[in-house]
Amino acid sequence: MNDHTNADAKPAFEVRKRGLRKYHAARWDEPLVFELSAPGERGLVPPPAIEGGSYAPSPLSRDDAPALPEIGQSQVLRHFLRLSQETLGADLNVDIGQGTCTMKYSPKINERFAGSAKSRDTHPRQPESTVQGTLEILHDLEAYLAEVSGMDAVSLQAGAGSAAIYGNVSVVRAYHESRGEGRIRDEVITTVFSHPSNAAAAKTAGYKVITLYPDANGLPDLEALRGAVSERTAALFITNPEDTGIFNPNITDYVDAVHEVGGLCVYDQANANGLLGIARAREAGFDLCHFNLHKTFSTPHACGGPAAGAIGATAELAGFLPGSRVVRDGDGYRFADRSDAATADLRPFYGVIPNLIRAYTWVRALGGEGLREVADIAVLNNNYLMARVLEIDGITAPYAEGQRRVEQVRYSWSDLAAETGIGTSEIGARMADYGFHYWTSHHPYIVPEPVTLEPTETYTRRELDEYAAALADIAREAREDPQTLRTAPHRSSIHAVDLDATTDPDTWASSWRAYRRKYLGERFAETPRWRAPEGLPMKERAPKAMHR
Amino acid sequence: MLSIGLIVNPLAGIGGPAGLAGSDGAATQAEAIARGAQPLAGERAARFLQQLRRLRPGFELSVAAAGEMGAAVARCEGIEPATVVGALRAAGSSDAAEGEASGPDGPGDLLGRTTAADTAAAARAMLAADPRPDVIVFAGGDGTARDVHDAVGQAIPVLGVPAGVKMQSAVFARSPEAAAALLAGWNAEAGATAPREVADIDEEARRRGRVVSQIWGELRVPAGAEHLQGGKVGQTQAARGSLPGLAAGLAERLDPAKAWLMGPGGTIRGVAEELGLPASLLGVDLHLPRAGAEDDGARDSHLDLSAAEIERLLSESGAQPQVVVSPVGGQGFLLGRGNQQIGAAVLRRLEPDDLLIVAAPAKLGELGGGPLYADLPEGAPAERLLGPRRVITGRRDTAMIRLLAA
Repeated sequence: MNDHTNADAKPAFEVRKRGLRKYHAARWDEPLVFELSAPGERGLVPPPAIEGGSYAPSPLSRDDAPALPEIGQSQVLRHFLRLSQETLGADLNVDIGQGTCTMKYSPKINERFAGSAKSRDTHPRQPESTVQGTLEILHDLEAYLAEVSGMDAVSLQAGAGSAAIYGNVSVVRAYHESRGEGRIRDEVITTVFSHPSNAAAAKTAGYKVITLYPDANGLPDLEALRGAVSERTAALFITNPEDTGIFNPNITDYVDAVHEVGGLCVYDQANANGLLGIARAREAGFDLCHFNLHKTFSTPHACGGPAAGAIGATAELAGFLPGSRVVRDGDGYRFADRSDAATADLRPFYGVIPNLIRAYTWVRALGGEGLREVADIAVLNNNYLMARVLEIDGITAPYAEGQRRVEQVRYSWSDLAAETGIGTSEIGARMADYGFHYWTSHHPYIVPEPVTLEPTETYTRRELDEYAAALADIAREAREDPQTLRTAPHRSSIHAVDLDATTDPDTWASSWRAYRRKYLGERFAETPRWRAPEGLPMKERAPKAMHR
Repeated sequence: MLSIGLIVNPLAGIGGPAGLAGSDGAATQAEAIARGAQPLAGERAARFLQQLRRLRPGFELSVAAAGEMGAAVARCEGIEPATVVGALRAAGSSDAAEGEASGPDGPGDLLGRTTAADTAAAARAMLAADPRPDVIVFAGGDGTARDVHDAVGQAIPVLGVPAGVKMQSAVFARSPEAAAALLAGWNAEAGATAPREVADIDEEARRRGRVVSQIWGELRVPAGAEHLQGGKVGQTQAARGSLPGLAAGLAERLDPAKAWLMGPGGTIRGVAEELGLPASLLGVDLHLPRAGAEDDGARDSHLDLSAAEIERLLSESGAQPQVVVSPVGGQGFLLGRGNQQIGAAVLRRLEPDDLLIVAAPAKLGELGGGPLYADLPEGAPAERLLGPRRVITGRRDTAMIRLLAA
């Protein structure tokens, strides 16, 4: 007989969740869509072709049907939903582990605006009078970013952060060429804790690159910068705070050192999320800057894009900016005439309009006060998380001991690794068993066994606590049950990936066709390519890598 | 299944806490013990075995050196070696005793009973063993690494458990536990290894205030670079891919009219090969411009020279020198490696920009981004050479790294 007053009676179902989440990922073991193909299956039946009619000029029309999978609608839906369940994306997990990427919430309401027919059904070649709403949005977004950065002119044309950096490199080059110093200024200086795209874009544009490494405080070595600048210096490309999250209070000394030799200073503002309304590129003395709109300005990171980048320039350099500014013209808006000195377009037309709309609506929803609050909360969340994480025995925050960070922190597991032999890649793999993820660092690792965490303003205290608790539990496991940890993940959709394969191009197949060729031994007719006429001197090139 | 051979240098590290800068030789060891030092290598080796048992329970200790040189340490952990090689000499006796001795009454008991020759003999025996272990694990320092290297060279994979004072060599894991983790994840059948430098410092010179160190050769260390001193993930790819870039970056700065003095180490050797030049791993090489051959770039190469030979050849040629060096070992030493060859006179003749430093970004990462160290000989122009310097990291790619006095 049940005694209803029994103090030990527990409810049949425990609804309060205590302790760590008992997460388990979906694991569908799903085949490729090509393997689901069944001859004769159809998702939709297109209308028959009009006899004798053709939209495509004959070189574009096919001789034979494309080898697409034959599959029904329900099967397509099920297939892709299953794959999506296996993706630990930004909507699904507490994505504070992806440091420097600023994985904040992309408000879903902005999808309504970006996907509105008023934008979606437009074409960049329409007369300006028919797209005034879009132009107003671009005009105002330029003004907002100018205010945030303190710069005089903004280009919204870049389709990504790296494209914006390349745009800035082009402006630097055009500037020096206009002063007759294009040839002698062949060096760009950057830092090892800035995004590698800074060095890469400069290299691509033909510059020699000099990289500053950190001093004992984790800041780029200023004395080394002074030793590196000369009449050959075209520009300094630098981030502040860098990926360590440490703010460089002497950034103007670096700017002065470069200006003294006639170089330009370019601010990579990938790490702007903790600075909105607090510090600006202009007051630090910079000539150029760029923003990743998919970072601080909330547009979705999506599938490694589509993204958007914005460039800010002083009035002196505004004429070199790519693309066209939007200006008021009476009651309406139009594109300004392109300056003669404008550098080459970074992409066709005007920019990634849906993302520019999303960034605009995000700023409008927050306003000036809201932007400042974003920075305040991002910094607060980051320092709160740092305090929780540093309670864990075995993890440290190298450099600037005892000092606060701005919006992210680079930690090191090297103490735990020395004690147990368990390092950052094993711990990262084990985090997947809690529905989490983290990013380590760009290469080369300067901080050993690195982890870089960036909470942003999006996550709650409960979510930050959950993340820190998972790290703490894994650290405990490194000491008590290293074997389980070493063979992680156990509750994820797939097991750990062979890292060497990701850097070995011979193993890559980015299309079903490439897979059939490389792994199933099928042969395909070679794509006809242009062949040099006899006797034309050709540059010696490595054979073209074939991954498609 | 992983099978290992275990060698412990029971006197490794004994000189460190005693402030003796090293533990080589009976006299130093006696002094250390007189100062109350306790041997640590056994405890380090024990930690290694404990962690390896947790991470890879199925491993086999197929062979151990006798007594305190390995077998006794293993037995304390409940691990019975399948084979025991060598023996400690009985206390006070010149005959080798069969089997292993019981635990020592104290470190003094080990004095004279185990020497560098015993380390080498044990390593040779393991190489000759049938079946041969997949890897020799030794607990010791640079001296022990040298002894193992002298015995087996590159014939068998070797991994160091750090237990010494001098840890210049790049063959040590970061800790006994890291050594265990490295082997736990290593595919013994595939047997992938990477060549890592064995380096050692002349202790007598160090006690007289000079850091004089040399590369002794390379050991094949199981791949798993993130567990080694300063190693990082994915290094095999990075290491393979970086040499052509380093060579191209160096070629941008080499002056065909000048004499090229190339320092020791694996990176310089790799870069020299990319440039079509012969190279010695351990020594300093000189490549002189050949009269009348300025266009085809042929050089007269002289390998593994002494300081005197370098001086003589440079005077005869009359060419200005360029010195090409790379940080070697695990500690970021740049000059001070065979520095008795690159003498003060050569360094005084150098334009500051003609000290060409080459290092892959992965290597700089291993060293925590610098600084690099130089032990400059007497009379070298320190102010011109030290401080922030350009390091060639690739084609049209340099880094600013501080060069400090060692």
